[in-house]
Amino acid sequence: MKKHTPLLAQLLFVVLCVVFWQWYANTRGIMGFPPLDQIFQKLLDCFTNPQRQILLYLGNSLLSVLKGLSIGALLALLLSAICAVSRVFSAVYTLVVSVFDLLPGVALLPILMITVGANDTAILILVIHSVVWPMSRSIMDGFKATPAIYVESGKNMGLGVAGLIFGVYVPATFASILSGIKVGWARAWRGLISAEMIFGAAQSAGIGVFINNARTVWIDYPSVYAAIVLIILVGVAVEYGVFQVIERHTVRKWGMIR
Amino acid sequence: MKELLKIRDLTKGYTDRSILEKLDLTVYENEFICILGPSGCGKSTLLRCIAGFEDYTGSILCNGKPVTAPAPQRMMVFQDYNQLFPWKTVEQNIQYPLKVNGLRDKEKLRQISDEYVHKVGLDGYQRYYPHELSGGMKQRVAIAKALAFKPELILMDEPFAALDAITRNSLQQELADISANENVTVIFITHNIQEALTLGTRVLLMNKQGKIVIDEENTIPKPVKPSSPGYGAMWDRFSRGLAQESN
Ligand SMILES: Nc1ncnc2c1ncn2[C@@H]1O[C@H](COP(=O)(O)OP(=O)(O)OP(=O)(O)O)[C@@H](O)[C@H]1O
Ligand SMILES: [Mg+2]
Repeated sequence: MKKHTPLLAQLLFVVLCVVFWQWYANTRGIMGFPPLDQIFQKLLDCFTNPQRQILLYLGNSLLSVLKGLSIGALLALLLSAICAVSRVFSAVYTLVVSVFDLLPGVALLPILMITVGANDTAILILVIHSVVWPMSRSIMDGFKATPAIYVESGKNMGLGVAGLIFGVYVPATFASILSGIKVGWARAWRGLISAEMIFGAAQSAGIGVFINNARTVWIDYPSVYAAIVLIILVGVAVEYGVFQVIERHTVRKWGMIR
Repeated sequence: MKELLKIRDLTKGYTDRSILEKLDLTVYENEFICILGPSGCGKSTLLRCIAGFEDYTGSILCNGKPVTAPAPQRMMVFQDYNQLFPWKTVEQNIQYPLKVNGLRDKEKLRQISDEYVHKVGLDGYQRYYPHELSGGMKQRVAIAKALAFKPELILMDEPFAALDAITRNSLQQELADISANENVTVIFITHNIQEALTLGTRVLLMNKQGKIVIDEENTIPKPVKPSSPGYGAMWDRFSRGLAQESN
């Protein structure tokens, strides 16, 4: 019985929240606070209503993140690899990373809007910015922490520079790389939705645009909440469906994390 | 007997003091050389110079070619259990040096790794990851990996030092059997006289000044046991030598 106490507490908490929400929404009838059944209905509707296919918006957002994430990750890997080889580059790049890592992407938006315009490129740059610095940091830290014995063993086998980087440093650092991607993903996803909401209408409208439209054009708050629920679900799916699966098939299988 | 490794005037020091001074050593093909010596006398340093991990003055020629960098023809087996790549299975670890050096045929690779997995007594463990093995098993894999490559020279730096006595004994026996049946040349460093006499065809003693002070052919008939003729006398000589060098 004791084992289940935390679970029961969580369940009880959720039930209480739902009951309270439903009661409050029904008695007050505030626009920004719709009853749960309406939200749920909207969630279902949004999938079927051809004008507002929420999944299309969500798909656009995910596509932007995926594009930026892959470009950012490759860039981070490449730049960190150069750091492993060149001291001068490493010194400069470390400085660049520590400066830009402190800068939230959204703060760059005004500059991006006048330089590249309010378009998909600006969004892509923003996502890459969110990914490349934290990932570079984790990769470089990982490279530095790679046990000397793996490197010597690799050299002994006759691995060249590229072989050492991709055959030794990258797998030895994989746990770090993964946590870098996680941080990058979290920042990029948040940054992207903020940017979409600020831009209003980008070329390919994402979930942020959907929320904005629901609020200002359709005046449909249940849809706003439906989008919020979807954003949370995406977060859960990425954590459990993507990162934990990758972890299970790599670093956990290799015994490199507990 | 063909000369494989020729070291002349090898001198190596770190910033403040010299470790090896004008060391000469010639290793012939198919020898199993065991080097004994007090802790800190420079045994690992010597091995790392031969492997190509350190710069040095003097000359080290392997098959007539000067040693300037690490190369798979001088394959190192470290003391550290964690020398295998944790992201590769047992068989992938064994196959990797061969792959890196151009052997692509999957069938052939599988056949080689199976053969050496069998030789070190790890049948059935091909698909295991290093973290699923005990320390002794990991060292067996490291040895299999070195043997499977068939390098000109295998360099072993106290590979059994961190193992318990029983595991150590069985690994010694296995390595003695394998090396007797394969064409391998080995330089093996150890603190343990029994281990040196069991494995070595030639046993050396290094002193604190990094000089070789005893260099003896091991004529004790194989398999070597403490009761073998000549064992006691040879053990005594090295034991006295070590005691002298250690104080
Ligand atoms: N990188 C280094 N920098 C400075 N001194 C070093 C370095 N590596 C080894 N030494 C010194 O060189 C000496 C010889 O070291 P080495 O590791 O070769 O000894 P060893 O004979 O292998 O000892 P052990 O039997 O304890 O392994 C030691 O006194 C050690 O302090
Ligand atoms: Mg040593």
